[in-house]
Amino acid sequence: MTVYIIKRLLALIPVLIGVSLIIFGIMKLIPGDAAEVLVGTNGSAADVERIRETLGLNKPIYEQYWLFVSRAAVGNFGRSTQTGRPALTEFSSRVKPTAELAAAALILAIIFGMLTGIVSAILQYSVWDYLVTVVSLIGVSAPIFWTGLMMMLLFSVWLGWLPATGSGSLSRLIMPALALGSASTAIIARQMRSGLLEVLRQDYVRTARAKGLREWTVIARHAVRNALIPTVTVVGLQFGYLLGGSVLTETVFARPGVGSFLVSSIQARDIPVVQATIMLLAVAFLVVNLLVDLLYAVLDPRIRYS
Amino acid sequence: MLTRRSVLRASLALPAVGLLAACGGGSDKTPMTAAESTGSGASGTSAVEGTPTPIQSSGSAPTAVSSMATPEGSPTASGEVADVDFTIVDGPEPNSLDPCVGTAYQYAVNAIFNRLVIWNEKMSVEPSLATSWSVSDDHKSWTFKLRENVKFHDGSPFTSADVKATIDHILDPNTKSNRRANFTLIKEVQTPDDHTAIFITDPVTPDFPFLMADGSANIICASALQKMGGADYGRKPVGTGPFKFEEWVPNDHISATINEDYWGTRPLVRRFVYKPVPDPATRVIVLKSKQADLVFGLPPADVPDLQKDSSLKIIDSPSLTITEMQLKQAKPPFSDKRVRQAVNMAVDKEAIIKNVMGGFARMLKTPDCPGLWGAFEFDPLPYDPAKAKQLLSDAGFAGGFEVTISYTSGRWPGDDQVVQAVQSYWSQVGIKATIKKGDQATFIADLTKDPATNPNLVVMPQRTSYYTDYQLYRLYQSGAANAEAAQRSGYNNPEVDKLLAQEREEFDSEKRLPIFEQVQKLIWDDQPFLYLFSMVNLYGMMPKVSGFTILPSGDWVPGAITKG
Repeated sequence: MTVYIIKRLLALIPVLIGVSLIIFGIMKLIPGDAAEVLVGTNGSAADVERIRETLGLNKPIYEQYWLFVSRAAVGNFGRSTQTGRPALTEFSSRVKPTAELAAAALILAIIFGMLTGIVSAILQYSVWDYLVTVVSLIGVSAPIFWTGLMMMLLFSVWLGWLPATGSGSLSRLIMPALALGSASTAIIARQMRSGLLEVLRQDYVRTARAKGLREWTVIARHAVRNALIPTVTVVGLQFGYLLGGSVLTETVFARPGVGSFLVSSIQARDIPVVQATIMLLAVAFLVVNLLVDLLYAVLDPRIRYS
Repeated sequence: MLTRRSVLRASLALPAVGLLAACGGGSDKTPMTAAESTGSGASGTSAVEGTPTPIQSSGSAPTAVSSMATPEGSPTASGEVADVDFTIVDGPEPNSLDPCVGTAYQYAVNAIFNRLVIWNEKMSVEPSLATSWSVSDDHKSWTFKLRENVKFHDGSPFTSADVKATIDHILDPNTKSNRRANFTLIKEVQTPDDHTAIFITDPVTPDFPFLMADGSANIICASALQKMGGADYGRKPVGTGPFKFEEWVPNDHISATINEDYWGTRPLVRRFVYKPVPDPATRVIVLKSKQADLVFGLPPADVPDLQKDSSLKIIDSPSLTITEMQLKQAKPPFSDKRVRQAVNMAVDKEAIIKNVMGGFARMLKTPDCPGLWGAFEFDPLPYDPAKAKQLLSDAGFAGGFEVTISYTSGRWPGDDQVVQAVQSYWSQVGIKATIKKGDQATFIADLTKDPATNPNLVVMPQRTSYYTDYQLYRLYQSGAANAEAAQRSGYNNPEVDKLLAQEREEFDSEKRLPIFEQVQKLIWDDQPFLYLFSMVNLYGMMPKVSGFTILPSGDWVPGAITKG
């Protein structure tokens, strides 16, 4: 088990090197650089050139990349070209609201997704099942910026219950978490439903029923637990989707966070911040998926890592 | 077909004037409220057809010395400070609150800092931290007398050392100052005593007081800067303004509390808050749900609906931001004047202003920025596609040609639709335009591309100019057009260059105005750009809020702000 975890963590290194190369390459390929953005449309060529020099952007590209990698290896991602503060400081000052948002959305998605999935599997072809199917379809298809705005219209403008923007309190977390979590809820519900339907047809479920167990025990202990493995995989992958979706959610709800900051940093060609943010998000995603893999062993005693 | 009157009505944006009539009643005691600024701007532009007229002949020349002691009223404002927040919402998150580094910063910076001089409605300057100023006979040195008994938020007194430190900071190669090039003419700052600052400039400039009104020249605290360093100063600014910096939660809000020792008019609210809300649709929701006192950057399409809501006040006031399409003209097709005239005549600008911008824009009739001292108006070329086709065929482009229009999508409300409208108008005279949407960095790369190797490139920037020379020199002087990146259209008219060189050294404003008129006439005849429109500052506010000014420069001036 420990060996397995260490192996998986070591496998992070080539992934991160690949990620850093891709990000660096893309940021250099797209037109424009940080100095031009800082000067804007009102400055002169002299201003741009001087800022380029200050930022070290006129060095050869391989030298810039080497400088970045050698520093990043010891945890120094350099300074943001926009603010002049360390890229890690910029990242960490925004990570809390994004973590809150992603966690809240994920918890909502797991709770509602599993419950509705179980209900629609047990009551297959009932009104509830169809209702869940339709609502899931809407949840998957409706874009976050649309559901977000509709919720704001309803809860902020018409009812006046919730503040439309910002962060820092539970009332400001509800709408963004619902908007972000709705698609994942729907996906988890669909996965739970089809997984459970398959399991319910298995021999051991018939056996459990035959030996006279209560229906609730059959579902909870024998069926759901076996249907969980594919669902947990989906949940792990949803974490990646939620990180991506946080960009839109944070923009629509004007929430501070890593997502909206990443977008503005890409627009400002702020390579140190983009590198730091994407690499740390990549680590978070890989670690979550490692945890999901480990969870398999807990759910299913037949699975062993050695 | 549009009648002239209906177009005029649309371009003057009468809805806001109507609102003024409704709310103007009780405000005659406060000299400069936001609402009244709208009124003066809307009626201040008058054009006599055929004869070019100075748009703002009443504005004073920069060299005129004003010695008003307290421009914003007496320091002891009447009324109690209410324990409430005054919240401003706009799109962008500032990158820094260091005045010379920051972009998209002005609301917070205006609350926290002061400059030596400050713009007024007519875009001339008034005393702020300086009480008076004069220029030497040889025009090389400017002497500014500084206001006494002014304190920074950290308690240190404001002296000439801070003025010198501000200029040194802008010119410091380690500061990422974005307007440094404008200040390099300052060769020395002398500080003979605590309340006198003398600037030695080379070359000489009659516009020096204007330079001191630039956003970059907000006076920073020398001792605090030295203690913190530039990057930290930009996060925890120390100024002399009406509000003291409190906190900055990135992408969430910037707040400042009232400065009890403020030297000027004290606001009557306890706290100033700026909130960046990047999505325009969300800003409309913030306004509708009344979670801010002032919301900028409203999409014109949403305005008619918002105006129906009697619990909101929607205001448009003149702005110095102009929208034009720059034609790279070092080579054919745009090197031919007839082609440039044709692309202007092919576009029905009045229809774009009315239908796309909802009337919230004004037709450009000058190569200068309308609203500046020294701006002259001329007749715009009429919308005449038949004539445009004729001109193109005379120039040898009867079969049309292909161009690329590069711009930043989503930078201002309506930008996508304006570009699409131009594309379709141009297609009617045979010009096939490909639209290239990019982010700001991609766009700036196109803007600065060499005109000689990119002849078919058209770029659509939005620019703000604060004085006539700043606008004309940057956009039309051939040296600036070719060597410096701010403007790379490749426009080159030796006669224009000669006149610009003359006006830059002319300290007598009476003699300077005719040169301005002559040079603008020449440029207007050349039609170097596709002139579209000047923008308006469009914002919504809570009706009870008053006591501040929104200037054409985009600055807001905190005065005796109250929330009713």
